[in-house]
Amino acid sequence: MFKTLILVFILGFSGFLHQASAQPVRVLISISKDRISERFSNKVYHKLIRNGFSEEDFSITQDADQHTLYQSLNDPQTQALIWISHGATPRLSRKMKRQIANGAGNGMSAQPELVDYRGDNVAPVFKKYSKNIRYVAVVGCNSQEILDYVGSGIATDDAIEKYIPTKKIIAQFAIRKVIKQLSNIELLDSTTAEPMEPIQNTISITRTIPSDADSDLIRPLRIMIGNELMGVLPALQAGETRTWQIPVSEDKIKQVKLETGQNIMTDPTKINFGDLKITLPDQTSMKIFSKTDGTPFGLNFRLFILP
Amino acid sequence: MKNIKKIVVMAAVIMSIMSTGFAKESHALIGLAFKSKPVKVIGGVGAGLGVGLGVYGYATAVTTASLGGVIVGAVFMYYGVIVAGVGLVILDEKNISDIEFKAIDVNRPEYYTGFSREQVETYNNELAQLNSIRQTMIAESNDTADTSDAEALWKIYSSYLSPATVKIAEQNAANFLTMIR
Repeated sequence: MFKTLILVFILGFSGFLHQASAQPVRVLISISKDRISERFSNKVYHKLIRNGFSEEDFSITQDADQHTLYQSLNDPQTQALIWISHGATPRLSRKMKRQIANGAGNGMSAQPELVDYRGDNVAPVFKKYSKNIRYVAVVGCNSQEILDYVGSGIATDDAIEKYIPTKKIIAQFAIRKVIKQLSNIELLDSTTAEPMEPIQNTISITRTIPSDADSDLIRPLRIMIGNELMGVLPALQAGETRTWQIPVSEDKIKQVKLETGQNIMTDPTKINFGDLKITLPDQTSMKIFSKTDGTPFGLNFRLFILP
Repeated sequence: MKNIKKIVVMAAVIMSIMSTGFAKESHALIGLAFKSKPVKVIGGVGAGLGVGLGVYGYATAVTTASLGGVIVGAVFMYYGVIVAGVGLVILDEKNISDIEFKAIDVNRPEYYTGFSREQVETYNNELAQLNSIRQTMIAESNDTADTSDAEALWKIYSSYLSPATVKIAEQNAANFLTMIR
C-alpha cells in the first residue's frame, strides 16, 4: 500500500545533517518571483567573488524553505548566513502602538512574518542556531521586529555581527552592504561541532505521506515544545514514511506542536500534514487535539497533547 | 558617481510617491479581513458596545455584536521591500496576518483584572488549543458579513476549553476590539 521506508534519524543538536556542506558562508534566497531570485543569486555570487571570496567559501541556495534554513543555521560548519526574503509586518497606527506599549490589547497580537518563496513563515526557525555563527544577515523588511516577536536571540547576540533591518529596505542596497560587512568578518579555517550532551530522553515522531498525495503540498514541519524550537523535519515524498528520534531535555512533556508556517488564509485543501504519530520517552502515544469526530483542530499546525 | 546620484534621486521620487499613495491607508492601519475580503467585521461584548471598527478604508459596517467575529479576525499587513523589475521599484504587497492569542504575564496582575492567577495559568496552558480552535473557526466560517456563523462555531468549540480560558479569551478579544476602534 505505501512504499514504506522507515528510517531512524537521531537528531542531535549538531552534526546530524546527512548533507552537511563545508562552506562557511551560506546564502539562502527565498523569493517567490523566479526572475528576481535568479537576479539576486547572480548579484550575490559576483559580489562575493569581487570581494575576495572563492567558490569554495560559499554556497547559494534559491527557494530555501524552513528546513534548509534550519540545517544551515545549525550546521557547525556555518560561520555566516545570509537570508533574503520578504518580511511582512502589520501596519499599526501611532495610537495603537502607544496603547500596546502601555499594555493595552495584552493577550492578542498580530503576528509578523518572515516569509519564504511559498509564503510560509520561517521566523521561528531563527530561535536556534550554531554557536559557530559569527555573522548573520536577514535581508527582509523590518526583520528586527519579526525576530523580536518570535523571541529569537540571534538579533541580540553580541557574539554575532549582524545586519537585521528595523525598517523597510531596498534589497539591492542591502545586499551590497551585507557583502561589505561580511568581507570584514574573519572566518576561521575550520570549526568544530559543539560537544553533544548525553541524550537523556527522546520523543519519536513518525510521519507517513499517502502514496496519492500531491508532493508539492507537503511541507517541512518545525517541532515546538512550548516556545522552544526542537528541530525541523524535512518534507517527504508521496508514499514515504520516516521516524525521527528527537532529543528532549524534559521528561514531562504535555504538548508538542508541529507547524508548517503556512499563512492563515491558505486553503485547507492545500495543507497536508500526512499521518503523524508522536511517542513520549515513557512510550505514551500522544493524541492530536481534535473534535469528537477526530478532525484535528488548527490550520497550519497540529497540536499533540497527552491522552 | 552621476549614475549613482540619478539612482538615488529616482529612488527618492519613487519612495515619496509610494509614501503619498499609502498615506491615506496609513490611517486604516488595521483592516479586519476575512478570506481576502474586507468583510466579517466584528462587534463587541453584547450589543451595547455598538457598531463600527473605526477602520478607515475598509468596507462593511458592523451590524452585529459578535465575539466570534473578533476571534476569527485577521489583519492586513504589508510585505516589505524586495526590489523587482528594472531599477529601484519598491513592491509593497498586502497579505493577511494572523491575530493570535498570546500568553499573559502572571506577574502583571494589572493585565488580568477580574481573573485569578490560577485562571490565567489555565489560560496560558491552553493557549495552543485556543489558537488551534481559532484557526479552525477561520477556515470554517463563511464569506458573508454576518458573523452568526462565527458565533455558532465559538459556542461549539469553546466547549473544548476550560471555562477560565473561554472567559479570558472573550475578554481579550473584547479589549482588542476596543483598542482598534
